Order: sequence, then C-alpha cells, then structure tokens
Amino acid sequence: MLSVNTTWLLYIIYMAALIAFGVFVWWLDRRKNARQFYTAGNTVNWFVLCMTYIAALMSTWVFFSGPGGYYRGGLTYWISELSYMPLFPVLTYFVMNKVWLLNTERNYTTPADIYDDRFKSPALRLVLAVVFFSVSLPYAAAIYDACGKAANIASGGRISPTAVIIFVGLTTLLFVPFGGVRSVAWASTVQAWIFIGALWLIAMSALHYGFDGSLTQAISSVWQNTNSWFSYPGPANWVPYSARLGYPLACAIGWTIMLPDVFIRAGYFGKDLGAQKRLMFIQPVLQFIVWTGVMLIGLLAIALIPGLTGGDTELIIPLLVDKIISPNTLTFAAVLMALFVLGTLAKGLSAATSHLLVAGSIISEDILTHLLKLNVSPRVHVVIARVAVFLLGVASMLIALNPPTLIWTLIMFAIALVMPIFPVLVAALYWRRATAPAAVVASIVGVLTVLLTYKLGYGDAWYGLFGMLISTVLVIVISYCTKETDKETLDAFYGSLEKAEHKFFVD
Amino acid sequence: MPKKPDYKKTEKWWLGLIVLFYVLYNLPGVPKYGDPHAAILHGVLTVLPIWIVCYAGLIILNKQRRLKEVDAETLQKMKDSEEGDV
Repeated sequence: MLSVNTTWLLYIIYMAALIAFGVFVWWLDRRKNARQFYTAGNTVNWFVLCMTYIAALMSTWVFFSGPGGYYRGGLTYWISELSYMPLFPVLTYFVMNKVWLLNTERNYTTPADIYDDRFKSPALRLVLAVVFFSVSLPYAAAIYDACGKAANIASGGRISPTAVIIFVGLTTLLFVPFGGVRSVAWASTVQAWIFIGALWLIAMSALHYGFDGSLTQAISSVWQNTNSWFSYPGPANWVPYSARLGYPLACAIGWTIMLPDVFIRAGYFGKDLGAQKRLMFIQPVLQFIVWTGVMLIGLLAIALIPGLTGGDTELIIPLLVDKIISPNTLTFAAVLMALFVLGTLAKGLSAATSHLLVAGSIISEDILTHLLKLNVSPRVHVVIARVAVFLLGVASMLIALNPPTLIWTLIMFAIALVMPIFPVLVAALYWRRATAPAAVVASIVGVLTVLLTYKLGYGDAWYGLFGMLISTVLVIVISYCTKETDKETLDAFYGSLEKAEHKFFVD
Repeated sequence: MPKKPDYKKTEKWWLGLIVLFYVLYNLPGVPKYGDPHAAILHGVLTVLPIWIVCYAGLIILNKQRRLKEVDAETLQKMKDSEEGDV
C-alpha cells in the first residue's frame, strides 16, 4: 500500500501538470470559436485522433470492472470482445466517414447537429440532446467516484474518497473550460500511453511473480482448476448465446460509435480522410492490446486468487499487487500501486473530460443556441460554452460525492440507450425517403424499448438490441406513412455530401 | 448505363462477408456449453476470419478508392475565401 503523502503527491503532481497544459493550450488558442472549443473543427492529426479516441473509449472500467469481467466471464468473454473490434472499421467506413465528410461542408458542433441538419426537427434535437446528455453527465460523475475509490484502496483506506473526488473535481474544472477539446485531446494522448503501459506492466509483473513468467504454466493452472473459464457461458455464466450477440453489438454500435464523446471524435475531429483511414486501421489493434492486457490480468487472478465473488472481483489489480507481488518485493509493489492510481486517474480523466465537454456542448449549443434561440456574439458564445462546462463539472462532482443508485444504472444503460439512434443516423445518410416524424418516433420508442428491456430483466444479455430493431422498423414504416422531406433540404444535405466526396476522393 | 466503380462491388463483398462470419459466430447452440475445445475452435473459425476480412477489405478499398492530398483545414480556408469573394 502507498502512504497517504505519496498518494496525495501523485494526485497533486498529475493534476498540476494537467492544469498547466490546459492553460497553455488556452493561451495558444485564445481566439477560437465555440465549434473549435468543442470539436477542434477538423484539425486533429491522425496520431492524436487515434490516441484520444482509445482514451475516451476506455473508462476506469479497464482497472476495476474489466479484469473482474474476465475473471467471471472467461476466455469466451474475450472472444466476444474480439468479435466487435473489427466491426469498427466497417461502421466507420460506411457511416462515420460520411459524417466526417458532411462536417467539412456543414460545420457541426454537437452530435445532434447532423440529425437536425438532415431532418430539420427541433423535436428530434431535443430528444437527442436529452439522450446524449443523460449518458454523458453520469459517466463523468462515476469516473470521479472511481478516482476516489482508487486512492482509498491504494492508501489502505487511509485517504477519504470524498477528499479525492473534491480535489480531482475542482482541478478538472480548471483544466477543461480553459483548453477545450484540443487540450483534452492532447492530454488524453499522453494519458492513453500511461494507462496502457500501467496495465501491461501490472499484467506482466503478476505473471512474473505468480508463475515465473510462464504463460503456459498460468494457462495450465486455470485449465486444470477452473476449466469452465475456457468455455461458454464462462465460470459465472456471463456469456450465454444471447449475451454473445447482444454485448458485442452494443459495444460495436453503442460504445464505439454512438456514445457522444466518441461520436464527435470519429465524426468531427479528424484533420483529413487520411486520419480517418488510420483511425480505421489502428483502432481495432489498440483495443486488442488493451483488452488482451485486461483479459490476462483476469486469467492470472483466477489462477492466483480464486474464489472471489461480486464486488471483490473489481479489486483484482490491488489484490494481485498486495497478495502476489508485495510478498516478493515491497518497493516494486508500491510502484505498481502508484501506477494503478495514475492509470485510473489518466484513464478516468480522459473519459470524464471528454464527457463534460460533450455535455457542455449540448447545453450551450443544442439547448441555448438552437432550441432557445439565444443570439449572442461569438465571444460571448465561447464564454457561455466555458461556463456550461464549468457548471456541469460542479454538478458531476456533486453527483459523485453522493451518487444515487440511478447513476450506476444509467452507466450500465449508456451504451444500450444510444443504440436506437444509430438506425436513424443510417437512414439520414443513405435514405432520402426518411422523414422527421419517423426519426423522432423511432428515437423515442427505441430508447423506451431499451428501458423496457432492462425493466423486464433482459438488459444484461440483450442490451439495446431490441430497441435498435424497433427503431429500424419504425423509421422505415413511419417514413412511408408521412410526408416526404422537402426537396430543397434534401438536395442541400446530400449535395454537400457529394461535393465533399468529390473534394476528398480521386474520381 | 455508366459502369459502376470497382470499389462499389468490393464494398458489397466486404460488408457481406463480415455479416456472414458474424452470423456464423452467433449461431445459437454452437459451440455447446461447457466444451472448451469447441469454444476455442469456434472462435478461430469465425472471429479470426472477421479480422482477416476486415483488414483485407480495408486494404483493397483503399487501393481502389484513392484519396486526394488535401486536408479539411485547407478546404475550410478555400471555402472561407469563396464566401469572402461573394
């Protein structure tokens, strides 16, 4: 375990560096407008795009629930993860690259902008703003909570999680409203390397001290003692046939495409189509590296510390350090525990800051500017954007200090909740006959179906699959039953897409 | 009728094969519960092809549909100057 002073020192140094970076980027980009503040306006290069994407994608789940998931789900849980990773390039090629092309012509800021541009429906913008906001704010709050938990565990319970939540929450407030998305993107590029490095060092150390570095020995041990780890549905029945379909689809569509913080990265950030191309090539590999590291920790834990159940499985990393590595080398165990704290902090903050920015953009752009028609100068607009992010940061911190049960429910729902919005996006991009009433009804009924799926107890296996299917049917049927969108709107939208394709592709 | 570009055909094959292997991976009842050898073999025969098809398709499509050497920022400047002229 780390001493109280060391743990605090880690937090203070890390957060001070983050604030300094935020102020530096603010100083560099003092004159940027709200669009650049929230989406960087198509200026992010491929390397930063790939790293900020993976950092935004992985929450503190990587250090807590993730290893526990593999502990309980087994090898087939990993295989189910492998099945969705290569879907990302396909979905990006057919959907998100078109969003990116349109963005170069139509200048979007929030995820709802592209839907509104196609359907011209304030009702749809409001529905999407509510859905996207509902998944963003609790996400940030849960991450603050995880940072508090990490410090508490690393210090052997001597540091209060509340104190850490307040500290991390306040310093994040100084960082995000200053630098905007550009500082978040650059910081999360560094943070991505920190958390990936920390993850693999912890995995390799556990393998070294637990099995003298022999992976074969570790696998043999699990094969003999917990054979169910290698077969469906896994040692804790986590991967029945239903979850093998529902979970990866929720990850492919909800988690890697439709969650608002990753949506704007895959659709609005990239500097050029070359960056989009590299994102498609590199992202599955990066996910493979991260999830394989997490799976390895789960495998080693079930071999070295079997018999854990429930919430204890979420503490696998500190338990491995404490029970397996610490008896061999106290100093190195302390280093690993520090990396666990830093990794959680790095991972958590890159995701939390991304969610805060998106939530801020929904308030200042979708609600104030577009729905309430607030008419202010660009300068005031940026101030409103910063204030919105600041206030949401305070709200997230307050939620984290006293998290209601609903917050965890919302996070579990998050990737499922956004799935029904996907068919509406596909219809918007590919089908001229799709209408605004169809988009509104499909979105609302689809989301309600997801809630019903969870209410009836099928959510853990099917996630948002039923909601997405209902949404698909509704968008088609209602479109045929309602009046076509006017030709002028459609020509402007699809004309822009065609024009962008001519600009970026060799004919 | 103008001939459709090659990449359109590749896109269809690419999407079709990905969907096919994804469906094969998700065939209900396969592999049977509690059989580790079958689970590993099933993963190799279905998930590995999804990866292979994904990258092979990406490489072919990128060869067939080449990108122009232009970034969005430059285009934005062009667009701004176009609007300025108007």
